[in-house]
Amino acid sequence: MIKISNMTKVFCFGSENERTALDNVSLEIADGEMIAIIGKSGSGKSTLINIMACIDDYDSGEYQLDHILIKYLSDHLLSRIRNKKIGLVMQDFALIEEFNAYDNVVLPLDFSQKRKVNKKDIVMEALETIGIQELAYQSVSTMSGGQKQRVAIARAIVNSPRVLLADEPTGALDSMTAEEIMTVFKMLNAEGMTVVIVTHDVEIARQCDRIFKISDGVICDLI
Amino acid sequence: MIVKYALKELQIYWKMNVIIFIQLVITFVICFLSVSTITSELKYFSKFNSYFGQEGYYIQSFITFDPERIYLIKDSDELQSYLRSASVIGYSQVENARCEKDEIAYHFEVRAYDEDVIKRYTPSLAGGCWLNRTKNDSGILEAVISENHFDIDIGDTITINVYADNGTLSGEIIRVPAKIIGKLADGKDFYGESISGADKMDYRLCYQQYYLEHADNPILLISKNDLLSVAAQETDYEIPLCLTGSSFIVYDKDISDNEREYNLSYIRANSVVGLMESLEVMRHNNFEYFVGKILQYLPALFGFIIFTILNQISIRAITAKMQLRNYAIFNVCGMTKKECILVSLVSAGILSFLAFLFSLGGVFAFKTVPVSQNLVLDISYWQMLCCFTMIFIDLLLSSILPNTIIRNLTPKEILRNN
Repeated sequence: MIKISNMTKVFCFGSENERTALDNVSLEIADGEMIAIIGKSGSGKSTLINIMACIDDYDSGEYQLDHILIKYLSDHLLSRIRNKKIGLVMQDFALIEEFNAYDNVVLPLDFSQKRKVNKKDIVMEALETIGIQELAYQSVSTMSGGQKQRVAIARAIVNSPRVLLADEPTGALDSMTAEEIMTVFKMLNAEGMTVVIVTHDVEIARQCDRIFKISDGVICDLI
Repeated sequence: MIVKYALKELQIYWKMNVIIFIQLVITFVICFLSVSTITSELKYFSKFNSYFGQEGYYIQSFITFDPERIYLIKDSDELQSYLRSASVIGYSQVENARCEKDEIAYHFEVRAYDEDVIKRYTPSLAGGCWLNRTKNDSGILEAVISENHFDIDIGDTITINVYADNGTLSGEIIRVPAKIIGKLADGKDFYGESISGADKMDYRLCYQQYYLEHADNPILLISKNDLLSVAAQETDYEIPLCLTGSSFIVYDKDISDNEREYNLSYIRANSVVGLMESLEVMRHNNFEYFVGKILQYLPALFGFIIFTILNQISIRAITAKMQLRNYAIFNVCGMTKKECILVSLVSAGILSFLAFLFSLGGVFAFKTVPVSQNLVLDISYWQMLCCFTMIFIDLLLSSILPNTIIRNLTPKEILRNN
């Protein structure tokens, strides 16, 4: 499903602040796997997941998603891939604060080329899966961090993507809610969705099939 | 989908959009006012400009003395017959005319325009239509009347009464029926004669205004050709006409020096002219006055436009920063960058167009208020062109920032920066 070979990403190249976020990283994730990427803050794990989500680029190496070489795709194709194949939960949720939960979750459906679907039912189903259907028409700006996290997850899964990429999906949640979310992830994974979770919580990581550890931009251990 | 998110964007940032909306409305109103002023001046300038572009003379209040007896030159055709290689265009006054309605006759100043004058300049009308509709074979004269105290209005049929022997005012009365088809707007310009306050003679001399409050007699405007043909059906007598007001003597291109000399000496020897100037000098004066007039307005217009553009840039920059984060999220969720830019353009376009419609409605509403009579405020394609240019500039400005940033950065970079 995901194949990364010798990938390097350098921030502020050529300047005093030059920093290598990913250094010759290679990894392979099979279809239907549930993977955790763990590492300290600044280790490069978010950079890696952003590249996997096709929202950031890299300097060298190769990235294949579902046998598609990503590097030189046009914005049009990348947008289509993000919409159809990838569900992304970002660390800062990346929600539109002025919209309500429903309007945030419906975005991938609006941008997809599926014309004859009952968007309302699909969105409500996604919200129900995450357990926040009663918050559908509440403005995101009035929600707690945990509620926003759930809205972000509902948006990531609403279009039934092939891969769910989650950057610290339980970071803003209490342990009980985190467990509930992990149950949802495991359920989605059981239905065939590939799940990649970036986390610093080892307990969360242990619930996954495989764990990659990243340190200073290098995948240094495979647990 | 684009329109849906463009409308949502307008809704989200409504406070900023209200400020932009007000600014745009003010800009459009200024556009309407400035362009109306310029085009109204251009209208006067251009209508008879082709005469000024030729060789000849502009004359006013032409009265000719026959060596044997004093008489008035009847019309432009008569004067033209005395001159060589020249055309004369102007109008005649029907002498001692009275307009009769319901058996009561009122003094009127009846002006019979040459066809070319009718075709070239249509005055502002309070209602009805101008004289140049179609060829008149109805046997009844069509006329445009000024505002008057005699309750004569559009649709009325009157009789123009004139003395066949104008010298004694006691001869047979010729009665010419006329139907009122239009009414002059009070205080607006129509072809006639005026005394310009300027040192130099220019095109303004060809126009005069009629104000009901200050006028001695109301004015009736008719076609000279129609008058003569309708009168010919009523009587064998000749209608007493007098060439007066503004007239153009336009020389043929192949006029010789001898003919020029003859024409000039004829006019000087046999004529009393209130004002006379060569068309070439008038052309120069026209241009000088017109450019001067335009230059009065342009600095204010451009100053305001630049001020508005700078304001727009700063406001658009603030909103763009907020919009960019949303566009990055849209892009993450599957909207292409091109579609994101389209959302930005459509949202700006809707706002501009709404502001334009609001301004247009405001101008229409203002034109119904009596005080607007004192202000030059028209709605024509020039005003539209100016407003649409402003809309184009606004769209350009509002798209530059999102366009540049969205195209060159990844969604992650945009989210990181905003």
